[in-house]
Order: sequence, then C-alpha cells, then structure tokens
Amino acid sequence: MKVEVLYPEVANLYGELGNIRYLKASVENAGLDFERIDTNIGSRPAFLDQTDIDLVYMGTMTENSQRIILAELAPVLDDFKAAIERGQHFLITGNALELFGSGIKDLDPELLQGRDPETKCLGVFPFHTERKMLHRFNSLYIGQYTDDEASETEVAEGVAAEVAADIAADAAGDAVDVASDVVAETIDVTGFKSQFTQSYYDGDIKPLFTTEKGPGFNPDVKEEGIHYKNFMATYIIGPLLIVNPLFTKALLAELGLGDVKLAFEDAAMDAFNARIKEYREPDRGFYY
Amino acid sequence: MGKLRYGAALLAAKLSVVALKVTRHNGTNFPGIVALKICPDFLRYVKKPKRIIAVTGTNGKTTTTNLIADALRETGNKVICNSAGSNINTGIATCLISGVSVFGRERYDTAVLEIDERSARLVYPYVHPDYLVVMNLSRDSIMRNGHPEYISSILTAYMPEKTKLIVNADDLIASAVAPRNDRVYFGIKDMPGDKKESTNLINDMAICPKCHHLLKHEYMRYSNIGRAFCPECGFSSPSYDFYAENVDIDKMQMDFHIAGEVTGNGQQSEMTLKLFNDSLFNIYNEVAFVTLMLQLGYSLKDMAKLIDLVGLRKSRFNETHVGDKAVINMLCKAGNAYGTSRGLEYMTSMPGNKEIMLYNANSDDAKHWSENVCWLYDADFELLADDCVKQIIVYGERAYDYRLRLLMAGIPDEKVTYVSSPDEGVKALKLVENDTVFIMYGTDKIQLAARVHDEVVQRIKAEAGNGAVATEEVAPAGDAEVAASGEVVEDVVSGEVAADVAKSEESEAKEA
Repeated sequence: MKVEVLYPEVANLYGELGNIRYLKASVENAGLDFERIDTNIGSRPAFLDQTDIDLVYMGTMTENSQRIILAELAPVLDDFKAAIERGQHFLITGNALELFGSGIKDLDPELLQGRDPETKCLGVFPFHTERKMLHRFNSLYIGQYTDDEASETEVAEGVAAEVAADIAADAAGDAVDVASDVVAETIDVTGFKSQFTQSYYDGDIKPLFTTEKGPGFNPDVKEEGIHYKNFMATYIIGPLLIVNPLFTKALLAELGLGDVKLAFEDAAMDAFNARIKEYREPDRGFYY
Repeated sequence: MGKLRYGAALLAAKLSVVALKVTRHNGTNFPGIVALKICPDFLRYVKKPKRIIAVTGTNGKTTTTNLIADALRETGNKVICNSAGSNINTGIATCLISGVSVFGRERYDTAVLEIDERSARLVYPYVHPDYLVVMNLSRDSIMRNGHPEYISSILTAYMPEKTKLIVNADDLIASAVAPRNDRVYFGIKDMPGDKKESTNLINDMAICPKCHHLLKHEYMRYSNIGRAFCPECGFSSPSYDFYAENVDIDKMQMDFHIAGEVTGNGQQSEMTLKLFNDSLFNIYNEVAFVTLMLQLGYSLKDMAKLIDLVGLRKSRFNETHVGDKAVINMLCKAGNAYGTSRGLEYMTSMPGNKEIMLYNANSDDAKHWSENVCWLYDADFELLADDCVKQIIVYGERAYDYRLRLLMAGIPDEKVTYVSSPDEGVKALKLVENDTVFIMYGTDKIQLAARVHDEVVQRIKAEAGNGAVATEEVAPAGDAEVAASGEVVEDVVSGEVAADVAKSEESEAKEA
C-alpha cells in the first residue's frame, strides 16, 4: 500500500501524523507492505502523475503554512481536480480542508499585521471559512459515517463473506459475527475539534459525517466534512484514525484491503468504546 | 472618570489584600481580579516602578524571573516580582498593587514580571517593559495555545515599540518575535550530545522562513532548538551577541562570551561561569539571565559573584534515595507533549532501571468535559521502548488511550500495568534492583504526587527492612522537574497556588 503524505514538515500539528503511523502499523499487521511518500514544499505531489497511490493524506497546519501550501497547490490545481475526478482517495483532516473551499475570511483583524483579511483558497468545493484568531473553538465530537458508496465488488465480497460466516456459524451451531464491518452501513465516529475557524457550506456538498453531538461543519449544522467520490475531509482530530478504529477499518476496506485486523485493534476498540460511552452521557460537557 | 474608578479599584484591591491576610489566603491573584473588575484599564493607571523587566516564553519563565529578581535584590535594588503568583493580567495587577501604597505611591524601583505569552493583549498596551526576555516558544496546550507560531504572532502584535528584546537565537520561533524591536541574541554553541537533525515527533520550525525549503542544522538539541541554516537560500539562525561555549557538565561550568565590543572600565569579553544546574533547559535559563543582567550594566565579573549568591530554588521532597532505589517526582504540565518529551528524555538518559508512574493525564478535564488526547501522539513515548524501563503504571479516565499509545510506541503490553487508583499503583510497583521510580504528574496533581511519593518511599523502606534510611535531596544530576517541564517545581510554590494559576489560565482561555 502506498500512502502519500502532503507537506508533513508543516501539516503535522496536534499529533496528526499519528494517523499515518497507525495506518502503517495496521497495514503491516495485515502482512502487507506499506510505503510512505513524503512530499515536501517545493516538490510536485506524486499522485498528480501516478495512479498507483492508494491514499493521499494532509493534516492540520498553522495559518501561515496554509498560505504557503495554497501557493504550492494553486499552479497544479487543474491536475489536482482531475485526480479527485478520477477517484483518487484522499483523507484531509483539521484545517487542511479549508484549502479546498473558496476562501478564509479573518474576522479578528488584530493579529493580521497588515495582511489581507481575505485568503483566497483553491475553490474545489462550494464552502467558505471564517476565522477568529482571538477565539479558540474546542469541542468533543460524536457522529456517524455512512458507507453508502461501498463499491459493488466490496458489497459482493462482504455479502459472500457474511453468507460464508452464516454457514460456518450454522455448522458450529453458534452465532458468529464475521466480516460485517466490511460493509458496515453506519458506524460511530468520535474525536475532537480545536480550531480558530468555522466553515459554511455554500452549495450542495455531501458531508463525511452526520453529527450526533457537538458541532458540525459549524455549530449550526449537523453535517460535518466533505465526501465527494473518494475525497474525504473532516475537521475531526484525535488523531482521527487512531480514535476511530471502525472508521479506519472502513477506510482500509474502501482502499481494497478487505477486512483488515488493525494494529492493536483490541486496545483501540477498548479506547473507542470507552470514549463513545463517555460522550453519550447526558451531562457530558462538549465545549471547553 | 477613569482616575476615579482607578482610585476605587486600588482601595478595594488593597482591602482585599487585608481580607486575604485575615482569612489566611495567600498567593492568589484575587486583588488583581477585584481591581480589574472595578477598573478594566487598571493596569494603565497603576503606578509602576521606573524600570520594568519582563520574561516570557513557553518554558523557563519562572526560573529566569526568580534569578533576575534575586540578583537585583542582592545588588541593592528594590524589586517587586510576580513569580510566586499568577502570570496573567490579574496576577500582574496583583503584583503592581503590592508595590504601591494605598495612596498610589510607588515604593519599588524595579519590577521583574513573568508574563504569560497569551496575556500579551491584556498586558502590553499598559505595561511597557524596558527589557523583555523571550525564552522559547514551543507547542503547549492545544486548546489554549493552538501552536507556537500563533503565540509568536500575539507577542508581535502587542509588543511595545521601545521594549528591547533578549531573544534565544537557538529557537527560530522565539527569535522571530516582534522583528521591528531592538534586540540582542543569546545562545549556546555546539555541545556534547548535539545532533544534526531533530529526532523528536515535534519540530515546529522544519522549514526555512524565507524560501520554505527544509532547514538543516549545524547542531540540533531537541525539537527545533539548535542552530539552523537553509541550504537553498543561505538563511541561517541569527548570530549570537552573547553565548556560552565549552559547557562542561563534569566541572559544572561554561565559558560565557560577549561577541560585540565591550565598553566600560575593567570589562571583560569572556569569563568562566559556574553552572547552576546540569539540565540543558536550565543552562539556557542561566544564559538568558546573564545576558539580561549584562544589558543592565553589570559586568561578567559581577555575574561571577552574583551566580554564587543566587541560585535555583530547590524544591522539597522531589527526590528520595533508599538503598539502591530512588523516587523522583517530575512535573509535566498536563497536555504538554513538548514538556513530556523533555521529561522522557531526561528519564531515559539516567542510568539504571526505571519504573514510571504516568499520572499526568488531566483528570480535571474529566469533570466537565473530556481530555483532548491528541498531545499523546506529539509526545515521544517511543523513548520508553527500552530495556531499562521495567514497568509503566497508568490510571485514570484515559488509561485506555495511554495503553494504545504505549503499544504504538513499541512498549510490550506486559510492561504496562493499569490500576484503578493512584494508591493501587504504589502496590503494583515491581521495585526491581537498582531502580528509580519516576512519578510524572500534572499541575492538577501536585499534592497527590507528593503523597504517592511518600507511599512509594514507605514501601521501599518496609521491604528493605529496618536498616533502610531515606535521604531526601535534589540530586546533583539535575532537577527532574526542570527536565520535565522546563520549569523547576518552585513554579508551583504550593498546590493551592498551582491550582489557582491553572484555573486562571483556564478561565482566561475561555474568555479569549
């Protein structure tokens, strides 16, 4: 499996590269090779020219780094869009997603030092971002991911596996739930948000998650993130793939790896289940 | 109107000081809270000493502030200082209130103020330091501080024009603060143990600020601390105006140099100075301290004498030895991956076996919401995947998260023990031969950590039999707290004060 990490020298705040370390450990745990391609500022991203990259990842960065990366990506925007259209898989977390909207507007001008309060972004998707550098939005998150675009092959494989499992269970006279995660319809997703920004949909965008508790793309909506073809983006940090083993399994299944046993899956599930239970407590505060 | 409000605020604040004394509540920033409530721009009106020296940065503020204040007092100055209290606007107001009479007359000639980086917006419009030492800027609480570049932008935006900066040249984030201000740079030339590149999970200055290519380093200490250069465009860390070299831990000394022209009678441009402490953090604190004092007109000769007179205030009961075992408490600010990594580096650099009680999850968070655990993946827990680490004890709400993190760090499950309470952890210790037990704790667990320390010592004594004698000391090998958090434990004079500081930080963050 080949994963390209965009600009890890700056897009690494809040433990974000833990996502990639966990992916590597999980892929290797499944007995597969894992190749990480780090693309630094000044280099052309590999996925623009190669079609053998399974996943492209980019995580949270500083506001200054956002401007640097925007300048990097603007000249290759057409190729970037083409890659999204051809079905390249992307996972974009934290404020990295803001680069794909129309722009970021600074509402607290005090810290701008004369900079333009409007930052033009790539305009790939119809949404915009508002930033308040004197306000930090901290919250917990719980929601759901619905995998309704699982490819027919995966569904077929999954169904076959389930049928096989049923037969096996019948034969053993025991109820066994095998491989159901491969075609998981709806799974719980959890994590944190810690950001200076809120984003607002300006057009028809399919969200990545539906919010159960906590803020969506902004506190007024239930929708969270962006899901277009194989492009996935969310504000949720955690790191996302570590605090969400079910989502990680679903992602690996979508990448064609089938039902992978994650690295330290039992430990990850214990932490996940404890967090979900805690967050569902009726009096649990969600905002810091 | 403003003046009237100010007078009322000062009177109320002074009365609150009396009330606190009567009710035996010391060390709070309550008078400042009262004053700012009545008069929001109280800091503008309150009389300040003629000379204001300030210290800011993520780590080392309290230590350096204390060194400066002690040295100035030793040389006959009348100094007020806030280091025993809070370092946000209310704490600074409390400190300045203590310096004026009830009629508003200033009674001191110098203020030495430790100022929280995020409080810049609330402090610098009214309090203009003549000198400001910027120690370093590193990743801190995700919720409160965001990232160090953000903190740097706050300092730059609110820095008074005429303030002269004393800046750490080995930290490119700190040295970029307020580029228009007059400044001098300090640093430490190459040392034994330096690396060529960062091996830590956090390096917040990986790219050249000019051309954005990856930086390289003449020498690198940890994270982004070292001397950087850009092979693409020629950018490099600023030259030192004042620096240490030949740092000799065995002899506990360094050669201190003034790079520029030295003026004045009998002034020397270099001198061997005694080290207060062997931990790298404290050597930086000392170099910053000496550099600041030289700005005030003291000579290196004066500094050699002053270093003998002032010193790091030793914490009590943070290290105990019994037979072949030691128990060391390490303060790690909750949620601070950078400080935790320094602690882990310090621990694993020590000889002998280690058992580690990881008691630094933020339990207070569990009361009103739930801890954001992202920081666990910024902290170098991989350092604990070492044969010398025999056992790691974890408890609390985030035990499952710790378990997963430690497994990912390559630590076998059997080395990690999960307990339901801190005291269970004491019973669970293996106490192998030639062992040091490290208790890592956050600012919300100061009293708990002291109690656990005593319980561990009692258990070791009981198992060693009647002959065992415990010696309490701060080991010459260094102050563990310094390594852990960059700030010695005096930062938290008592649990009460620490809790207070933590609370005020929290409430200020919420306000912001």
